[in-house]
Amino acid sequence: MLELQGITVAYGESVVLKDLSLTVPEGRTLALLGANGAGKTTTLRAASGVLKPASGRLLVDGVDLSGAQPYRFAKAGICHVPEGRGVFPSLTVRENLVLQSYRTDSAVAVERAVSAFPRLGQKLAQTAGTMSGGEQQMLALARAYVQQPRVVLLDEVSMGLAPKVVDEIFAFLTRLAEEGVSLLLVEQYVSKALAISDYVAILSRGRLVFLGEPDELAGTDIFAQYLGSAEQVTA
Amino acid sequence: MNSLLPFIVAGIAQGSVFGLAALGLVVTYKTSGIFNFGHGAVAAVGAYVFYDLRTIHHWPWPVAAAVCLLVLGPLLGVVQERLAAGLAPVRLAMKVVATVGVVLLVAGITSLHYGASSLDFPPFLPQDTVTLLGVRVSAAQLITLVLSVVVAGALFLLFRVTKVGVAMRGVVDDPTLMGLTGVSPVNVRRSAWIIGSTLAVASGILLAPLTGLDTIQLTLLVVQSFGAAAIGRFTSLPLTFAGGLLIGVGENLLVRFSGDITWLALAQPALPFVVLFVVLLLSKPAVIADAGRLRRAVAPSRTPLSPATRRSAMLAALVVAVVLPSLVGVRIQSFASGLVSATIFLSLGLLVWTSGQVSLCHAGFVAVGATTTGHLLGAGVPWVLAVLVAGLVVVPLGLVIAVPAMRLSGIYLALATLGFGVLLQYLFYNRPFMFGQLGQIAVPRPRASWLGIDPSSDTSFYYVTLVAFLLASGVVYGVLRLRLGRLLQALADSPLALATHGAPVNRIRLLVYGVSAFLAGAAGGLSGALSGTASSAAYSYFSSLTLLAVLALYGTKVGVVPALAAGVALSVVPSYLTSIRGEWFTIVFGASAIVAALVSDRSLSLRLSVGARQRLADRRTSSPTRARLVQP
Repeated sequence: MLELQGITVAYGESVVLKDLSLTVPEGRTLALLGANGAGKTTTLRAASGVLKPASGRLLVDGVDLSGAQPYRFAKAGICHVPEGRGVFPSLTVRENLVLQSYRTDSAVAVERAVSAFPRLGQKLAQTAGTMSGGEQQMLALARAYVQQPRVVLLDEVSMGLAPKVVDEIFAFLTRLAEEGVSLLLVEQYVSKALAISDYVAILSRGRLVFLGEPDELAGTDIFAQYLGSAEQVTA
Repeated sequence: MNSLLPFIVAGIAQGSVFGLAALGLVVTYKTSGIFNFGHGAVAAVGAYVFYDLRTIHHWPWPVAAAVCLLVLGPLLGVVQERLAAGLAPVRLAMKVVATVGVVLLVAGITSLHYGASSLDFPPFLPQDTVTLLGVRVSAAQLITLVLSVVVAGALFLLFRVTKVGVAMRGVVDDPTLMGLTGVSPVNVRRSAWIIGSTLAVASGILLAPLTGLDTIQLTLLVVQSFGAAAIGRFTSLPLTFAGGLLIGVGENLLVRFSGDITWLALAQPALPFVVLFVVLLLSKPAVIADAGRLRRAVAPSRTPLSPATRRSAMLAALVVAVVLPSLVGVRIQSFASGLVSATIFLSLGLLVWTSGQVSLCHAGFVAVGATTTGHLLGAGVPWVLAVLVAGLVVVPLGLVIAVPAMRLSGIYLALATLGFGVLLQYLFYNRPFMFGQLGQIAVPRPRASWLGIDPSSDTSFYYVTLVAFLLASGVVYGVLRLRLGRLLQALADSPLALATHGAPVNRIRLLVYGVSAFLAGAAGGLSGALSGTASSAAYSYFSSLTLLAVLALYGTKVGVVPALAAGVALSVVPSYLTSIRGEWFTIVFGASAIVAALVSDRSLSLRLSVGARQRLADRRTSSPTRARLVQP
């Protein structure tokens, strides 16, 4: 499905990703973990074409999209929900959804979004920038639904949100996964992320140090080694 | 009422064209965050090309119009989109500089090719009249109105209903996110620029029969759209169009009443600016959309010259300045003029580069200084005192501008200053207390003779301007080296951060405007005395645009060297190249200003320097090359 082959990214002189190869398999969820500065966000930005790697290839269904503009990735079914609030603040909720719905009819798009997050249904005419942080994140995620993508890249989508909203968001991610969408998940709630993941990858200083199933982590000191203490990461 | 109706009808027809132009302006501003001061210049290009095809090459007008609207407009739109993309990362002042450069470029080229005087632009739409509600209305007026309303309506629907319209509104929020939704932000912006540019071309063609073909006039007339856009708060399309109608009707009513009250005739061209000024003053800052956020890059620090080298260079420069009259002979007059310009550039640079506020009315400040000096000298006030008082008289004017500056910032301040400059020119230049009806006033050079030197000779007056420039430099350096200088830098970087530190931001702005206005006013006195007569034509609002463009050619720091270089470029070089027509200088200043703005992105030089270091590192360690962010 989505394949990163030997991706190297550097900002100026500091190398952020070094020869990273990673595959997000069809219909599976891959959690991408690592300490601050490990290169998680950079991986997602490279995978959606926002950032052009210095070397390496990006394949979507075997088609090489290296160097293509981000909108080509989106059209190929890669949906990136970026860090922060991925909404257009000056547009209304409905307009935000319409904008994402290039694959479907606008009305169908709005219907799908509301089915995923009923709360959005009451706010369709509201300007997105005036909604609460949780609602904005729901709108950003609803996009992942409306666009009918095949792979969703999620960058810390639970950051700064109330626990109740976080639960709602994870329920939505589970639903996405059940519908056969592949997820590449960067998440601070490690235990929640692992609970819904089929695979886990751990990055350290731009290199892949672990790739396997969540069960394989049990009884190892990998967390302590690369993510700090377990309390810190699960907090 | 019946006597008013014909004026209202004419006003609605004319206003609908202003509305069209304003819609184009708002569409591009909303999608790219670039406020296009060159919008009127694009309209002028459209009108000239239409004139060329129809009048000179005798094409049927529908064919000429089709070529302009279907080929020229979109083409200019594509070019402008590229320009706007290049300007996205540069600081706001440079965005203004670049679009002002477009105005100069177009004005220079059209004036060179078609002559500076206004050309007759015969009407092309049918002139038959019909009577509606007892008022005779020409078919041309009706067609113009219907066409404009249809276009405005279509545009409104496009933005509200269609995906591309929604994308145009969304792209300015977050172009990267737009790319992630599967829509190319470049294509969205290009569509917007094509629409905006085609609307400008259309309004130019429709306006030219009313105004005659004259770039300056046309640039100014389409600038009515600024007023209309202000009524629409720079976002609402229906209100913007309504604003255009309002300004058209207002202008025509002023024409109606100017028979009774003569100064109203002068006020007519200034109306859109009065509207703009009032809207800006009455708006809460947050109400007006600030499209396109400023991305600021860190400047690479240059190695400063050692104090010894600097002292030697300054001494050498001073020696050259002192012996210059014996080196250049009769041309010393133009060097004196260069020094006066350099003083004006010091004053403008202080405002633009250190407090980050763009002035497009500096020529107005200089004009007030020149005329005040003339009047004071006429009243027998000693020369030096007259110049200093002229400087002081301009200070309250600067403070009038500082009021919106304190409330607004960025592009709205630039607009307000342009409005103020035009207002000053149309309402006051021809008043007895300024240049008078004849448009000129005597400003003699100092007459008193000290130590047997005739201070009114060209050489002596050169030394007067030299001393004045040195004093002005002293003032500017004094301002920069004091605590105020650091506060100014902080103000340019982040007014909010400065305010939260408890610094008196508003007092700093007032102070800067005061100093800048004083220097400009005093320089005005000197500029009048250069030739002994100050004439209003030399201080038009267009001169303010030229001043800003030339200022930008020499970096983004206020200092003696950039000010002198700008003064030389503006006043000395043209005097040596007398065989070259003045329009060429306008063209060169305009084109260079655009280039200067495009390359002013300081992160560009930073990137380059990082890139160079990277290549060096590559050779040593063969480490990977840098990644780059996709420019949305």
